[in-house]
Amino acid sequence: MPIPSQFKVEPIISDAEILQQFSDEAGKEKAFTILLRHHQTRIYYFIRRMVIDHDDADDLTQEVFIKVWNNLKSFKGESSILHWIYRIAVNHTYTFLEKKKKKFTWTSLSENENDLVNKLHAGKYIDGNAIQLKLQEAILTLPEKQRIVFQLRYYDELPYEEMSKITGTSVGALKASYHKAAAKIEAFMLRNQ
Amino acid sequence: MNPSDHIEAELRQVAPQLASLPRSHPFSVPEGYFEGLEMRLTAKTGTTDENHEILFGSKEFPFRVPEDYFQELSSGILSKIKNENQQNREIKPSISFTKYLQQYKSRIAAASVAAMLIVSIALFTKKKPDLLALQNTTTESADDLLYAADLDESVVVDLYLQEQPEPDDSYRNESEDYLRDVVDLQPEFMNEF
Repeated sequence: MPIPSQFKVEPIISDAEILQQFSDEAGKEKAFTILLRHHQTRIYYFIRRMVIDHDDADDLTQEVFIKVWNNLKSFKGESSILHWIYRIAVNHTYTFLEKKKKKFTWTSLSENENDLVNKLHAGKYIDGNAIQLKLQEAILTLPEKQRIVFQLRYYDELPYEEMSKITGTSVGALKASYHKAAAKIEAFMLRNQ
Repeated sequence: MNPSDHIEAELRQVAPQLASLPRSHPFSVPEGYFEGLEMRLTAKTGTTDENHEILFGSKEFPFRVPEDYFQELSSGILSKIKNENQQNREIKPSISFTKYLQQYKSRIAAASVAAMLIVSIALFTKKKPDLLALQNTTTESADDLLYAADLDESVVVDLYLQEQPEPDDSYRNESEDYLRDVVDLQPEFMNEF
């Protein structure tokens, strides 16, 4: 199948080169497009797994990359650009979920969880077999921060050291959180077979 | 051992049932989407199998996206950024002094009213000693008092004291008792340490 010309992929360049191109007004857009095409899928799916709804994920993904555009020139290079984008995505998604949670009354704290489960079952652009849906339900029972840790390790397979830079949490705490999350999910799956 | 194997081994240890879940492909995507994306990335980036797995996500989840979503996402983000920059450029030079004042109209009005009140109160209180003298004097003519620019302070003080009730000294006894109790307690308090 021929590749449509507007979707030709740019060659991979290092973070240093991207930053150099981005600092030049003439190459800024091109460098940004490279970043988008390399990382948008991964970042989108991380956000999507957290918020479930495609429209919410779409909005958040765009907001994350607009933040990247606005702040890349001040990026210090203490981590890779990808992990820096992950950090923005994690913070932005967490803030979004916390704001949504505050809309629910204290008597129905689980309504937030139910809202996401409902979107899982009734939302558009969601397919999958019963086990996959059950797994997503199990993940939704976790608190937000623990859910983030689980997603980054289980789906994105990030090393703990990189997760530590993304979340600002120690490696030991991340390991403990991930192990607890995995055990909880397994228990849920076994209870709800 | 590559990172994926390490993560797999870790999961088998903490949640063997979860680790054993099948990982099939549950999503519906536009025809040829992943093949096209894979071809672009593989041709231009030369990714290894491991990176390929990480980029596409070896763990399946039941989310899908609208047709051509990722193709439109990057152009959507770029046009939003351009629109924002354009709006910022249009707004900044066009704010005139009149518009600036209009923005703060309500605050300027409130400040004017407050200033008038303060001036009125100041003028009223300045006249007060004269009025007090007028109220408490029957023999002296009102006209004399109204035009008396320099009223003796002692007159004002005497008039004020005449109107005040007898001071209640009972509170003084209580406070003295309190002080006495505190003073009496102190040696015992100090002795404990």
